[in-house]
Amino acid sequence: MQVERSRRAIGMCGRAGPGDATRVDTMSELLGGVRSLFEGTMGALRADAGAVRWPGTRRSAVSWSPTPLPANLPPDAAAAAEHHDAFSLVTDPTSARMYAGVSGAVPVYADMDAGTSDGVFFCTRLEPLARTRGASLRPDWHAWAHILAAGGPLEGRTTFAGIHRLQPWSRVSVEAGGRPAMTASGWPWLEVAQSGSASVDAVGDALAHVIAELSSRSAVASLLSGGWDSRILAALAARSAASPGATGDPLVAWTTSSDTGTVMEELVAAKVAEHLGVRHRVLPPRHEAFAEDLDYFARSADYQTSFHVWLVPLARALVGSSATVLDGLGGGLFVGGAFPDDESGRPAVDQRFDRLARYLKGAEEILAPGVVAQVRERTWAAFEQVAEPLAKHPFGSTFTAYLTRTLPGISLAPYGLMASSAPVATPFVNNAVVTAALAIPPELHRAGRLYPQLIRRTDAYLAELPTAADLTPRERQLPRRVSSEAAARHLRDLVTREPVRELLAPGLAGADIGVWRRHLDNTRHQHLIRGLATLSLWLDHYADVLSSADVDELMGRG
Amino acid sequence: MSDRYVLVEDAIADRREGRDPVAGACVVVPGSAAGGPAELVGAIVDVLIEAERAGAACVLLAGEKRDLDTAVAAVCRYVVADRPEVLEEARQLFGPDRVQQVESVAVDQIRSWIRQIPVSSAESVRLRRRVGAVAGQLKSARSIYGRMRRRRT
Repeated sequence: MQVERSRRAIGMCGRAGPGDATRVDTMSELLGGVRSLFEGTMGALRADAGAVRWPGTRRSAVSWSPTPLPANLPPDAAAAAEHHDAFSLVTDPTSARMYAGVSGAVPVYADMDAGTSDGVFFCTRLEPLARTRGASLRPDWHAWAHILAAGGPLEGRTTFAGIHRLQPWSRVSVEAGGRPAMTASGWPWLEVAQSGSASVDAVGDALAHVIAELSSRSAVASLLSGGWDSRILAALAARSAASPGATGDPLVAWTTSSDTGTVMEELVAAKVAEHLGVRHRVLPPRHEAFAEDLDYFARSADYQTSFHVWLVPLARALVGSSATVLDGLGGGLFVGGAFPDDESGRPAVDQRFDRLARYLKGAEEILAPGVVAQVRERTWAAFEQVAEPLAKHPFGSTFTAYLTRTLPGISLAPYGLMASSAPVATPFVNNAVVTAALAIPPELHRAGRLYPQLIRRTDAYLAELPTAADLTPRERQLPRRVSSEAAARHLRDLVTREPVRELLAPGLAGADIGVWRRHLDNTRHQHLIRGLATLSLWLDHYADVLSSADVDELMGRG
Repeated sequence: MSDRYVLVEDAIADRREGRDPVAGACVVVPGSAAGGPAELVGAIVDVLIEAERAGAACVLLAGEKRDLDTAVAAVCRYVVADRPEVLEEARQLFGPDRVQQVESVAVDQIRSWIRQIPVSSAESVRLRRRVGAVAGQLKSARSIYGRMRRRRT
């Protein structure tokens, strides 16, 4: 694993339960040399930033988060998970327990079946776990099917068989002499009751509190787009930055191009920043850096998604920043009511799958027919496990999208990419914010109607200002970087290498560059090509440790 | 292709006087080294939003490399340049599809190259419609903007 000198290794690794102490040493080196916070028979934890030891306890216990935590935390892992979305490791002489945060948005990966000991090794990045595993390292082709169809691995899978991502509110227990046990039962977000008297004011109060707390601990930076979520966070951050309890550092708003054929995002962001009186930096991607950006993003996201390659210019600019970067993860779902079911009468689970796996519509133009069938079948099988229990939940469409799209794919933009550069916070998935939002009945969330109400409390002008989506014409005119000739050539080069080439539709590998550019101007086809390119990069990166690199399973030949 | 253009400062003045400045015209923005805008603040943002909404191209006149490194440059669809080192840097930044070489980036030379600026078929249709329509029948981007604000209240 290459840790660039200029990139900060904000990460954490360790062991729960007995096990090989040297493996944690090696993982730590692969993370860039994170320091030891404790080392004992029943556990170890290393982190370079973001960790807080529990005071006044006879146990060895540490909580960790890429979002700055209060200096003192109550010695209660459930409270740390719920109120601070923190990961905690708690050990005593005979047991160890790991607790994931309530949102699950911060990736913590666990090698649950190391084979050499009874303990569980964990890390915020996959590579240290994979390279120190010792046992056979195999691709998880189910996960790769999910990445192609949905944008990220479902059910806590990762690109490696046997290494899992901790799901929201999950807990892992290791007793001396016993096998590790994991549960994610009792996730409090599923239990929130709706109330006709719930109001958006409670959501606004919770958001304001989260941002005021953050602003008292560190400077804050805003990732500002032309949409509602970042606008709300920027407005609250601007207000907090000017308040007496803040650090005194000026707020800076950062914008780049989402490469969707329009500059409306940058222009509306500029209106917002000017109105708020904050410094605005607009950093377009360098055309010539497409290949580097793709590789940078893939490594930062542990090769598990390709959704936000376009954010790399901001991640590069923020390397080493001490300001906490605000990201709007989850706002569209928990406040904006995104991905609602329609009134077609089709079963909700079928509708939700079609929305998630919409990239497979027309996929036969990119993928071999047998591959399309495999990808769909494997993705459906995992999706059904997540979606069926939520079918009748009042916020079933919200939770299904959260668990199958936001967490597996989107969350890796803030907590894979951005967290490699700077501290990160995602206030819309704070427990108090989500709880307040879910108390408002689902129908009141529809079509983003809560947003203007929410921001009007802080700023009436911004409540009236149209978003970039409101203003963007249907015909988008700006040439996209991803479909430029240079980008198309690079992507074609990646996906026509063996063995990924075998997954392509007949004739595509030999098609001229114009055909590839047209495919890259189609959102669904572009998604599939980016996914295949990520697979190609991953196979290349891990060629020295993977036990097998053939793609037979994805072709239905496994 | 179209030979209609408006300088951004004229578009700002038109807008201030209640005229719809960007209908059917490229918006041409002088580089910051020549006194053009660098920051996305004030009326220029409204003009560029109207241009983007109307599908009109925004063209940067880049006389020097530093003209390319501004917030305004970041939102221009095309860049024209007359010096090799500026062209090279512009192509690396924006890609060859968005960069045109011209004889001169002087404002009084715009008419000699403005027809080289690519206009997509969708934009051509829209421009023909706009140019051919009676002014009073057209809704300006500003009026649409205002209507959307009202709809949200």
